[in-house]
Amino acid sequence: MTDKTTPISRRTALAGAAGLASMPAVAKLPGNAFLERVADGVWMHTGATEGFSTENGGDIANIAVLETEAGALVIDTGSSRLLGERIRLEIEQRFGGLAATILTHHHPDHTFGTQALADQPIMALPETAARAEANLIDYSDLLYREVGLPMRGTSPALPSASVGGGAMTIGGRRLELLPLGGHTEADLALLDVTTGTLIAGDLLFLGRAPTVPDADLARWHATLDTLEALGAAAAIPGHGPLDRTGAAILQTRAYLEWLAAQLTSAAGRGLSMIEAMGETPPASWASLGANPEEFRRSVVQSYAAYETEALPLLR
Amino acid sequence: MAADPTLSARHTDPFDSGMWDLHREEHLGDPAEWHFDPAVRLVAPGEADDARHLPLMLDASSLGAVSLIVVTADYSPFPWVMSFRPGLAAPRLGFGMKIEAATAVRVSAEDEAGTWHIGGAFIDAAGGGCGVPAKAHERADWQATLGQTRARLWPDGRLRLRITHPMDTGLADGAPEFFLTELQLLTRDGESLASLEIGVPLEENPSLAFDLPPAVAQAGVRVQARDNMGLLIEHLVPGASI
Repeated sequence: MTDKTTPISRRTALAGAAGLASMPAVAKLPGNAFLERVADGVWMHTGATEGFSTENGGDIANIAVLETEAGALVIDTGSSRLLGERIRLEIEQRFGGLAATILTHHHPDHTFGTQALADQPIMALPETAARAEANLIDYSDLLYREVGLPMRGTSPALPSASVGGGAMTIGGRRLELLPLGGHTEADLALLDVTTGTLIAGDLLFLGRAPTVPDADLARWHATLDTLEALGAAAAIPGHGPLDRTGAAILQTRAYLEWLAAQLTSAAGRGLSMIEAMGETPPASWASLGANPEEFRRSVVQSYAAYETEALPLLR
Repeated sequence: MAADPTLSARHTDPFDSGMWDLHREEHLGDPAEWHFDPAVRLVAPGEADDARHLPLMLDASSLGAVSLIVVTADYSPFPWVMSFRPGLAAPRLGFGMKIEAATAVRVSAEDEAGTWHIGGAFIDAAGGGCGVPAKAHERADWQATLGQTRARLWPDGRLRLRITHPMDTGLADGAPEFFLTELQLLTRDGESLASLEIGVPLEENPSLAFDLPPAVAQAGVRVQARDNMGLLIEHLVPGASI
């Protein structure tokens, strides 16, 4: 893991760059600022706060990069081969190569760029690796359908190394790994010890509606309390801008509380699923990125559980 | 032949979808009197996020009295979804269905004069909902909860009902056709209220919403359902307290 990677050849880099010239998602970005420096040795790519579309090229999730003496540590990879290649090009130019990749969780907007990074370890919690493999075909079908052409050539690499919790040092950079859950069965958050930057994956959303297809809300709330207690200097959420004020924890908690209350109320009033989908969220939540579509998806994904609570079992 | 331009417009398929003429013959009995009618509504998401559970609500209540409502999907291995005789219930039904491909879903309502009014919605979908195994079969003990019924009445007449059943279409490997075929709603005293004839495309663990006369809902409702293997499910849903 401490081995420094061989930089990719200039020909490979040029081929990657030529492919990128026609990629709408990257062409939309201002200048060459794919990565923004947010703390000493901490860089961030901010994805669109939207759902998947051809227009955004599937570039909807954040990517974090930590500089180490062994090259860059990439945390999450975007949703396509092209995004993975874009991040690879950037770190070869800026940081002298790739040390390793860490995946925060198994969702494809964070894991489908791995094939451009697969010559170095791709690390994840064991449950994340299992879920990534089990869902590979379904996620691939979904992304090719929703994003289309910018997905071309994407065939993601699965995690190649397991991690657990605790302290880890990569290329002299000290990290604290926090194996948590709630957004999915296994969510890995990372604290960069030197700068106090929390890389939260999808445990935190800011300005973008949280997604709940695999969520356990009670566990997620407990996890938010754990993250709050860290008192991090700044947090990189899975979706949305860098947070230096703690707003991402407050907003994620408040939205999940509202969503649960809304669906409990809808089921308690006897609404059918499509009626529950039709109740527009209040303006503060309707205006979040990806809403109201994400709210409607959340109803489809979770309303049955609220019905179970609202409808007595007949004997 | 002098074409009636009004009738012609009312016969122009809003979804321009090829199966309609055949399905009108096969599932409505080739009626003489029919036309597309926006008064028959199908509330639907534009896109099916889950091809196994497309949430819908049909509503023909602006037609007045309706004797029969037939739900069909133009492009599906199982075009006929169900037939609903509203009886004393409002001609309105919340339900969910599987969807195999992007398709028009039709709601055809026959009024008391025998005229069919046709509504519907186009649903975009990745599809595949009819061919995947039911979730139930992920558990070895799925039969332990087969037929479990959850239900509740509200004082305004709303009945919500969910029956645990795999609703196997027969297309998934190792799972022959196994589905609820009918559901009857009766008053506490056994008088018929409304009925459904059900096909395999109805979703797994069908979740239904009916609107009944408030007095009936306050008194309580009997539910009887059957599946194609002869299982009979019978329950009394306690009356809603005001």
